[in-house]
Amino acid sequence: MMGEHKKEPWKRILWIRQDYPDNYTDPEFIRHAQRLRYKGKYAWPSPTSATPVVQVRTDLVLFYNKLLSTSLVFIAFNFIYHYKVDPLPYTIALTVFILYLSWKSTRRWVDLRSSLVITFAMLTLSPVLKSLSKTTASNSIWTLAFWLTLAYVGSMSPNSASQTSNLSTNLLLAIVTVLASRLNSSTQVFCFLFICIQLNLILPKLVVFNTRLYALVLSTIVFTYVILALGLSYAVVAWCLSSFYIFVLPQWFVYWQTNYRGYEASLSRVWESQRPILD
Amino acid sequence: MGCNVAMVCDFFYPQLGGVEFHIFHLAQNLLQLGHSVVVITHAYGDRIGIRYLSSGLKVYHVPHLILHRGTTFPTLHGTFPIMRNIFIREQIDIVHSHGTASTFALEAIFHANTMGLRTVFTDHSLYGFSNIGAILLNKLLKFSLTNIDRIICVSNICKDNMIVRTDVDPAKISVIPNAVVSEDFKPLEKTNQNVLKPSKSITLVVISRLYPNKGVDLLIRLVPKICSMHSDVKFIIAGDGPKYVELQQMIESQRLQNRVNLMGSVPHEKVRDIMCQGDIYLHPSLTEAFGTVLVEAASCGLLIVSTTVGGIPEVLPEHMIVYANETSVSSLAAATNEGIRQLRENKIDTSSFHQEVSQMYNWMDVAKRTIRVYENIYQDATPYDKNWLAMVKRFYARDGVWANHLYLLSAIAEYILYIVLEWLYPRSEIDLAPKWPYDLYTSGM
Repeated sequence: MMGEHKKEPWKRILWIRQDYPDNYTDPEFIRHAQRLRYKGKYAWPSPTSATPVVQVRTDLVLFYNKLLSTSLVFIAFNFIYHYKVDPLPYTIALTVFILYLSWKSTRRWVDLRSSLVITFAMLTLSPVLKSLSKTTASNSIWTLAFWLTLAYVGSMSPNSASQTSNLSTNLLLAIVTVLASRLNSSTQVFCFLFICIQLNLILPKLVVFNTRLYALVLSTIVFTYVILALGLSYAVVAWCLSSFYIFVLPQWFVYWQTNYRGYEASLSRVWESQRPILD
Repeated sequence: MGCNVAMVCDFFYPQLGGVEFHIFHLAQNLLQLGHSVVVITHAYGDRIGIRYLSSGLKVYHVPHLILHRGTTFPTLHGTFPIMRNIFIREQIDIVHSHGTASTFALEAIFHANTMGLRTVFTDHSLYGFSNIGAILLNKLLKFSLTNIDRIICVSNICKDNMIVRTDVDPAKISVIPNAVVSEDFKPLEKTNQNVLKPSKSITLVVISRLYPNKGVDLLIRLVPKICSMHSDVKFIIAGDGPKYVELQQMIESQRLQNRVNLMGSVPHEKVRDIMCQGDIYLHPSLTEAFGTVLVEAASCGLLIVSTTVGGIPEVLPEHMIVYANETSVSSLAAATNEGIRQLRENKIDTSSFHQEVSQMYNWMDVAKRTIRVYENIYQDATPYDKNWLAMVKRFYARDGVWANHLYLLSAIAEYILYIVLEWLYPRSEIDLAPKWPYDLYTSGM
């Protein structure tokens, strides 16, 4: 039987009916899949497939910076609310500093008109924001702010290349709005809003040139505050956590990639959605 | 004799799409071949309960919480009572689920296995391994397909993907392509000009949901490039999605309003009319398991210009399609130019495409091949296929140490639930639904 006519070799096409059953599998592919599985089980360490530690660390530090910027919101709030610091001179100083930075990084003055429009809009909004959740109990405000902060941290985009999403900006404004109702005057509300927007939205855009220096400065500020406000023991715990995050975690991740990820690393990309090349 | 099949999927009429049409046409042809088919899907708006579609195709719209893009909320055991009830009252033998992303489909397989029914799963798309959504879905699929009887994939690449994703015996996986109703995709009646005049302008058609994975980013850069190269080329772009606004912005900033017709979403019955206005179908997709739209366009007599991703090279013979060998703007532009040149110089006769395609793909053929898959299950059946102990063993041998204990727990909870349901709502109290008199109906009563 078999000798009488030689079967056509199987082809990877669908538009003709071939003389093979529907559940026929390309033996080539079965061998390929077995090799994959073998590789997965007995994978040699593959340092080439791992990401460089430096790159992982830079990504992590970017997120760390965002976390610290978020905590600046609460530090600023505490200074105004708890220590009764007059925020006006600091706001002016920060604005001048930001203007100087933006001039230095772009070598031209920012679009003054739109900045003024936004500033005046904020000025108009301040009394409204102040009275918006006035009647809510303080404890509810703290809880609300806590959950909103979690949502804000979760909504932040993980890489620096992608733009900040609208959702994330709106969540930040929601936090500020909720907290603003605890402040005493609309000037304070305006200054608080202004400081938060500058520290969280404008400043990170201007200091992209040196992530590590920025992280260092931010950490110094935040840790100094933690030591002064909460005491040394809290600061030590926080410091341990952050140094684990920055120094140990990237190494650990790369170690895992090199030694335990043989199977995934050897998988072909034909099934993935291809990247568009926009040349 | 015919079997009683339940098609289960989250995606069905009134929603429209590739999977929805697949289920509908497959069901219609199975009915024609003397089998009984019901469809189980979730409720769409006020479409709750039992509805009948043409030829007495019975559809159960089960009310359930909808999570994201038409997918129901995953509960694992939550759908068991209602599914069990439907399977018993319709006397189902085979549960045929469709689509990895459909929670209903995967849960139905789990429940049907528990009840000792035969299960088949059809996958319509490709999934990668490098993003968190795909990883979770692959895990879920691996669990759901542990005790599956047969799997159907729409293309060979889809099958390869399935083997790697779920570790199922390749002999259990069949490849049965999608099809088109070729009567619905006829080219226009050409009056006398089969031959394209050199002066006639060429229209390129794109019909696609405007999502990033459909290559809309490429399209946004390709359209101005082609328009600047040829003064007599027009575009028709139909479909809607998150990238619609960007496309609109491109048209406005490049001032291409009279060259590009951006139509927004169009009903499926209009697709053929739009395709027939064009000469070339442009397909810049970045991932594709089968690409039914290519077959539809070729059936309308259009020349195809496409990327070579996924299953596309398996679908149509080479004379119908011009490939861009990479997913880049320049490569697609070169392929489009090549397509335009072939049409201009009359190198290619697209008038025969319709006839050729109608012989390649039709739903009756798909239905017959699917029935062969069903028959195969019974030929290879062993008494241990749906034995609870054997199934639990298979769950335990399936995956890593964390996953398999979780699988085990889910399975045992399911069996306990089954015993409770048998006691609370005994089989004997569930009415059996009478079957639709299909022969009577087709003979005109």
